[in-house]
Amino acid sequence: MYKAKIFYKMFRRSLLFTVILLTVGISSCNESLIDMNENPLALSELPDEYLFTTGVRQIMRGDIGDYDLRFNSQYAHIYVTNSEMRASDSYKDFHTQDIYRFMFENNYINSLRNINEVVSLTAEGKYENPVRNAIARITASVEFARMTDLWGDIPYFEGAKGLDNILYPKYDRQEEIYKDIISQLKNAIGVLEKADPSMGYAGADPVYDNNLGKWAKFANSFRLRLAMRIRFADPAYSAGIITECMAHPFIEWNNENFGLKFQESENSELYNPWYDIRKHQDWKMSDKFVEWLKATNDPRLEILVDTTKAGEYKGYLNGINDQATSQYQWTDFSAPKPILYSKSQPRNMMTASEVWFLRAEAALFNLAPGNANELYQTGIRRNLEFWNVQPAKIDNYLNTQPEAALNGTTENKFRQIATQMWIAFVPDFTEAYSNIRRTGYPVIPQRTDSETFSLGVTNGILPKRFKYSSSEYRTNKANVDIAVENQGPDLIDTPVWWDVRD
Amino acid sequence: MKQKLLRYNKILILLAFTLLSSLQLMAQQSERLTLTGAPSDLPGLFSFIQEKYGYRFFYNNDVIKPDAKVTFTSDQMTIQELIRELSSKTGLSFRVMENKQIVVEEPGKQNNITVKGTVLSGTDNQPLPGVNILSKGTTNGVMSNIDGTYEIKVPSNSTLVFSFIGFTQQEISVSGKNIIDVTLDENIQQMGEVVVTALNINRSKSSLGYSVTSIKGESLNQAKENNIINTLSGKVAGLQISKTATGVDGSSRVVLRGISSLLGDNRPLIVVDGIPVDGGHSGGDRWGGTDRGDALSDINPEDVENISVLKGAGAAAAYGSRGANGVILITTKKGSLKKGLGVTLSTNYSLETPMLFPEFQDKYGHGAFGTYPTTVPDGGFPWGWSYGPEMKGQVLPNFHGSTSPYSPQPDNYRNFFQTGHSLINSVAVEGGSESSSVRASVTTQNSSGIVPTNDLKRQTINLRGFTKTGDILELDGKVTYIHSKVDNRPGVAEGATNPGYMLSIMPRNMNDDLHTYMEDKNGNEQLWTMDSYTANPYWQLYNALNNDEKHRLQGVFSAKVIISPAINVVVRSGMDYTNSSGHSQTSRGSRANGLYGYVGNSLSNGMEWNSDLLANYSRKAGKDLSLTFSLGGNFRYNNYKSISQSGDNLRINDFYAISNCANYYTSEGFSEKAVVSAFGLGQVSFKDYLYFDYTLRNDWSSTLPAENNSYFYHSENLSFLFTNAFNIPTGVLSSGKLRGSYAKVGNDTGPYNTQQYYYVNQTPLPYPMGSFSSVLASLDLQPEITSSWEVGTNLSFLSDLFTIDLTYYQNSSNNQIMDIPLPPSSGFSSQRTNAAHLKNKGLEVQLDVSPLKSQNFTWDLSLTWSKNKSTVESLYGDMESLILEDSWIATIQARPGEEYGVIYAWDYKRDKYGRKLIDNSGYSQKGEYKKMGTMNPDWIGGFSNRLSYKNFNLSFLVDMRKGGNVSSMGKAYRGLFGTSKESAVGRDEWYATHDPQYNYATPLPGVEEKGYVEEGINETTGKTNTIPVDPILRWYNIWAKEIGTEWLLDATNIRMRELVLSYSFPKKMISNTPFSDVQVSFAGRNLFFFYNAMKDIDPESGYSSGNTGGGFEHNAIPSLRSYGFNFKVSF
Repeated sequence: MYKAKIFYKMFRRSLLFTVILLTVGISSCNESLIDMNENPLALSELPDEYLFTTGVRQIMRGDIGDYDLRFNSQYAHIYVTNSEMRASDSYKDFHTQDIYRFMFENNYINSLRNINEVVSLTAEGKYENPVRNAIARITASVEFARMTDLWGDIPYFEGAKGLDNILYPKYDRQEEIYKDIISQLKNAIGVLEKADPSMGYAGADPVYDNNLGKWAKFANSFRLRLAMRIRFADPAYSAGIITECMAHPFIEWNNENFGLKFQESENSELYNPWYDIRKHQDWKMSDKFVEWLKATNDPRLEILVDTTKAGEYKGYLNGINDQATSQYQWTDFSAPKPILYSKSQPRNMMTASEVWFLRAEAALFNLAPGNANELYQTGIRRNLEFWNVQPAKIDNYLNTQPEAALNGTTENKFRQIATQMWIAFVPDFTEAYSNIRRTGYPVIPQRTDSETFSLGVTNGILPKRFKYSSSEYRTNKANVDIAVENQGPDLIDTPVWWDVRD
Repeated sequence: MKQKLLRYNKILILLAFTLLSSLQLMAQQSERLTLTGAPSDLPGLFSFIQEKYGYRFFYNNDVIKPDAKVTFTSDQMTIQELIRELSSKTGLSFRVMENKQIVVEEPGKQNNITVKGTVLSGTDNQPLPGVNILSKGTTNGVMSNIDGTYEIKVPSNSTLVFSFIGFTQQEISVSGKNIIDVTLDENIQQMGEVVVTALNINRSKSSLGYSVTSIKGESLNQAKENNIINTLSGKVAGLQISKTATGVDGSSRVVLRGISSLLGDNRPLIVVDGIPVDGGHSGGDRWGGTDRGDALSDINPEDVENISVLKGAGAAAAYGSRGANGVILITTKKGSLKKGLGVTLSTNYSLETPMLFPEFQDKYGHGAFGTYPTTVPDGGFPWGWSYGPEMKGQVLPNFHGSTSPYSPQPDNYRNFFQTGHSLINSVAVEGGSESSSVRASVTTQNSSGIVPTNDLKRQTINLRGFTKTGDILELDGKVTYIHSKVDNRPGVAEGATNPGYMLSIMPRNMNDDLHTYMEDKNGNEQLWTMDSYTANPYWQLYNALNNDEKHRLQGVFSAKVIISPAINVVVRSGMDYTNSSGHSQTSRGSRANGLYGYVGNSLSNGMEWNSDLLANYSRKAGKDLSLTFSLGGNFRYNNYKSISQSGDNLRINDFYAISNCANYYTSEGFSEKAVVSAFGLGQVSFKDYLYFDYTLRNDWSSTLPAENNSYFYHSENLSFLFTNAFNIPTGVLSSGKLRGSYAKVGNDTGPYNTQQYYYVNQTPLPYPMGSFSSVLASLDLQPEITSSWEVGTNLSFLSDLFTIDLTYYQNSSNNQIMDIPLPPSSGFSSQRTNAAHLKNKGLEVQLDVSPLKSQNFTWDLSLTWSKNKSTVESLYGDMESLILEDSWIATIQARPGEEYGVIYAWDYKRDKYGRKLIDNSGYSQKGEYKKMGTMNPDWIGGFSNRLSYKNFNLSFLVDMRKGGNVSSMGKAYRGLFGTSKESAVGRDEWYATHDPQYNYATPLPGVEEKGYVEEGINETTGKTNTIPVDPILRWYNIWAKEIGTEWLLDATNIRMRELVLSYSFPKKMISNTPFSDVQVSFAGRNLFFFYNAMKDIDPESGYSSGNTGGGFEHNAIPSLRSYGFNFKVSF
């Protein structure tokens, strides 16, 4: 019995020892446990320029497959496909809202999240920098403006601010979004026009290589675009802004275009994203676009449009229904020319040509000084220069083609300007589509022949917006509901606020 | 700092060993005997020592001379010293036995004595005939007679072992006695089944307060499956196993008692020989990918001794957080403690054939609107479908630029597949002595799947050794090395490399040309359509390849130090290390997966290291109460590293080196995690009928924020054998037990979830690029808590003729760490936070009947049945639903107040009587988006039957699933593409009554229109719909409107899961051969359906083994039927 007692004693002692060991061990290794949870392959903060470059590139490169190709190239009647992407050309609102979801999410979750983080990093604290802040705000505005043009009311003031703990953002009226962007741009121009370049994104500016003057010119040109876009919805306000814009320099030359430059490379990050999209070889040029270029002897026809096997320029009709497609031999139609997707083509979101056209329009309607026709012809010239048309051909076109000089009634002149913008936007199809909605030109007639065409859910009328993301309905329904109440039913034929001209 | 933790782990083990061995030594040497005043004659000396110190001496009187006297050199000595001196002075030998018994013998002389006695049953004090009485450690033995008496000649110092089936074995030391009467106690509850429980503690099943199912390895070996878990299907109540149809070495979805973690892992923890192994699985998803199997498929069935399934948290609380989903404990063979060498050879060969094929129509081929495409390859959508003209052998241009007869190819789907086969060879050598055993086995497996080029090679080497040193130390060690290599796992779901998908949608007139002309003259993929998402399955077979290789090393070493019969300490350390590499490649020219070629390589190392220390103490307090108490600690460390590289745009085609890629990308991965735990567990039992168990545990996890990283939890289990307590006569109710269990288990999360991280991007651009996660981190994560309780009973009737095991359980998981979707407009896709409350409740029944038990013929039946219901109590805030998985046609969701895994889809528009409302053009319309079904079965069950006649054994297993749904994309696609049988309905009529000139769009004049007439009511007239439509538009209509009703199928099925016929050669027949055992068996698995509501689709055809796996089917390759034979010899 005695021996057992000793065993027991020893056992108790060893237990005690174990417990002490564990306790000491645990408390001493608690520190190590906490350290262990530091990810060695990540950082807890990042200088703003890292996110700026990411955000800018996401805005410029992102989503061309869905936004520009799937929807807007066909809505703008420049491209047509026979793949399942034809659904948008058929004015269908998609059998699932996933496509709208992808587009909506990609912008907020990628570009806007990154660029908004830059805005907040540069606003105050360690990385505070008013110049960089101004550049970031301009960049964010480009994305927000494009999104509100396509959806109407969207989360803006509270959008992409999850890091500020705003998890369920309110939807803002398009009018308020426009007016805020316009005022943000004014502040940015103010900062940039007298800024010290050393405070900019030297070595980290994929757009203007830290040329702050160009940023200021772009901000002003972009501001003009926004003012013009809302001029039918709020003429007085728009006129005031246009007057303000005239006091600052604009983009005038193609080397001031707002965009990303690409190079001939085998690395997809270095070349034009349109190049990869082209592996889907099932795209043709639209009949509407080809016929217009043909009818006006436009030198861009041979640059943008490929010939068919028969050696002619022949566009495919937009909106042909499934059954009728068999009447058309797909291979008999003109494909886009490779220059539209060549690796070294830049991707521009605003070009000098557009700015001249906007100024022509402002002059035409007496919103700004200047000779509308001269401004108009400069706009055409810049676009032809962009496509490297020989100067002689440019002169010839401007001098001989009646469409290349403003003529007729003010309305006709307006039609001419809008139509030239339509051509000059290629391949920025999103702007081409928005401009058609704003101006009504070129006229996209209602489809009525249901034997040949798909009338879709809009009864053959060109859709006016995108539907909201299904994921927003699931997670932020109360706020989406308010937007729908303000703006009208969440359908593709509900016009956005500025879309008031028939 | 991390190094410090690792070092700490090592130090802990070292310290424990040193501590224990010194304890043992000290104890042995400690007691000193004082011999002052001891008599000098031997018998006198012996009784003096016995009185004073409790040592008892056993001897035959004739060994000791009465006049023999001894004197000692010292008055103080230890017992060892005393014996040494006695031995040298008397010439006798002394052996110290357990419990201070010392046997005195005359060296060289066998002191055999005759022992007689009677064996009685403790239950009724009646004599027990047939009891085995064996002299311990020898083969010398007898059997008790009809009146319970026996007589045996044994050495006077030997120990007799009394054993009889159904009774507790007893060992009695002879110690010179001539008469030994024994009362054997009946072993209650399933003949005293001993099961392996948490921490590898062997326990009598009757003392457990929770439900455990134990399965012998033998029964899993005859009808082998590549993945051992699949052979448990239908055998364990509450365990739901769904295979995936994803090629050889596919993973399986394993869920015990329902889903408890909304988005987390719900697989039970797998523990092999006391060491948790990584049970991870990788599967494809909706968009494709491949299934790279799971950790269970690495376990070699030949080495398995036993599998215990511990259900519910109560059984598993000792494993900490990871036991919350239940534990599957696998014990491998360790060789037996017997003399000699044994060799077992086993060969298993099986053939695998597709079990089911989709039903196709064979009348209409390539085209749309009854018309052959104007160009082939066609332009795409919808011209690549099977809505073309009737196939009558007309000669038409084909996709490879010539012409060929356009005729039906009813076998073009099945011809793609081959017969799979699998050969498994295994050699096991085991040897041992009374105190040591060793077992080594080598197993090789070569399998090829039904998809050509898909094959598996696996080798497993297993080495296990066990030794005990006296009664002090037991050492147990094991090393397992597994090497496997799998080629060309087929893609799944929407992936272009899923052959099931492409074969399902290809036009019905596609023939061997698809194989012969899979390449065009430029070496690019050639197929019937220009659609850029479609692929030629044959081209893919040779040009889109993948392989992966895995080296896995598992080792465990444990030492048990027995300080005294009451106290022992176990130290165990074990590691599971996996090195995996993967490679995939696509040649240039593929339409669907990159025109320019692709190479991808990955390499990863994963390691889990567990060390634990467990001190056990047990004692009897008084006559009725016994206590056991254990205290321990565990240290767990996980580490994962990976490197991957990929490249595209091959400069030289078909040369798959990264250096040959124009673009290449690399990435690295690293994560580590540690959990330190301290726990105590114990059992109190009162008499032989009341058992109470408890577990207390505290974990410290590296993955939680500092202030929340310690969490405590516990479990309590109670078992009450009421038949023993109330002495209920055993006539009808032979034994009865009630049990109950409660457990609360905490859980942590993965590493690096507690702060927002930023990354620097790899880029060829000349400026800095960075990013940060779109998952918003939560800075104050709390541990998850799962609490559960269960009650159950085990009843056995008519001497175990009939036993029933019933369990009802509930569990509730709170505070789950999961990613809650955020509105994308917040900039974030989700936030990682504590949310959701999920509840499960269910009933499990296991019924065993042995209607016949005679010497030559036995018949056993067993039935398992279980039902589980998981309810989502809440999600997060007022969140209405969480999408768990989606497809074009349905989503699997979690919604507060509803079952986990409800399937939502758009229904047809219906009137109030539920009839479809048809529009004026004859089309059905989209109605409500609503709950249409659930992925969960109402119940599952298994019925197994085992008949044995002499040396023949026949057993079969039927398993059943009632209810639940599968949403089939395969069926939807085959309808849309016009290949399914149903899609042909109405075509003859439509084409006969419409004008071919305009693609049958307009009716022929003066002919009554016929075609596909949708069942339902015309929306305007309220009358039965009679408007015919073109069938292609009928199917396109429901697809475009994404109406999911038609694709939601009932998964009810009754399946012949397993059939085994085996024969053991009689011992007499092989007695003059070197063989000790020869066994042959034939087995079939997954043979046929008695009933299958899904008809041409196997309900087990999911593409993922994740939580929602099995709820969706997407053009899976056929599921498999296998036939095989197994041949096993031991010598």
